Amino acid sequence: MVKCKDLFGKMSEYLDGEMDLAMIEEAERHIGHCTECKETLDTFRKSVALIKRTKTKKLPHDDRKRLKELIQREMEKM
Amino acid sequence: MTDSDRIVVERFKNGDASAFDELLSRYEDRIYGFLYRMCRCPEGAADVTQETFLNAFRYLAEFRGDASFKNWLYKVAANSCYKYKRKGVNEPNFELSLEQFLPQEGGTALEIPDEALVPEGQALNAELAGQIEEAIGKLPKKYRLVIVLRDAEGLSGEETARVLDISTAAVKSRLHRARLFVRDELKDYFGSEKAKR
Repeated sequence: MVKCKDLFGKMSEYLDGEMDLAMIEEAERHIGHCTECKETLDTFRKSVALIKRTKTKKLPHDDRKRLKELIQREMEKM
Repeated sequence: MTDSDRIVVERFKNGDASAFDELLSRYEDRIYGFLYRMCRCPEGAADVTQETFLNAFRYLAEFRGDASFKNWLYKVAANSCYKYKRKGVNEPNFELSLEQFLPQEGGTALEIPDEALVPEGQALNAELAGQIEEAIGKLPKKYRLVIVLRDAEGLSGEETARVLDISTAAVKSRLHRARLFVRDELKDYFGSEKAKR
């Protein structure tokens, strides 16, 4: 039988689809009757989704130019 | 390795140095974005991006193709990143345990409103995005590398393990703790948002 602490330690595996089938069934049975775990999992799921939606930064124009020049110099040494 | 990367790498190995330009334009933004999250400052990210591509250029001839070029490049970037020290700023250095994140009886429960989650492809509220980046930046490097590679860069657990030379079990464990840390750090933000409503 899954306890709250067990599920807490495996929320990432659950969300990432890395939990084995038997454990998923047990976890879902537990979530079905434990309001606290249901809420914890809900906020955990949302926070992971937020992390995944942060936008990446692009290399600024001047740094891009400098990088290209550096590589060009390396090429000339070859 | 995607076929096109493989072909370009082969061109380079066969003496066509200009093939590197193509690899550079494919991956410069991606590697910079990764390093920006890791270094926590634009200048540092640009310096480490330079070092990464210079090393990649110098050692690409030795690349055997066991991993994809993309993941090999992440490995070069991660190694450069380990060496990077931001001037005047101490790197966070602590361990995270599951116990520290367990919900406490009578503690404040975190509430994340549904509207905070914009549809995929849309930009997050800038203030919230800044809070998330800041929270990730507070993590020690060994946790930050894992959460950034897995959740921001979209690498699988196995790919992340290979890039960082650690076990998949270590990736899972560090990722979970890092996510719990970020979730915890968002408590204040959503607490004050709730107060505003």
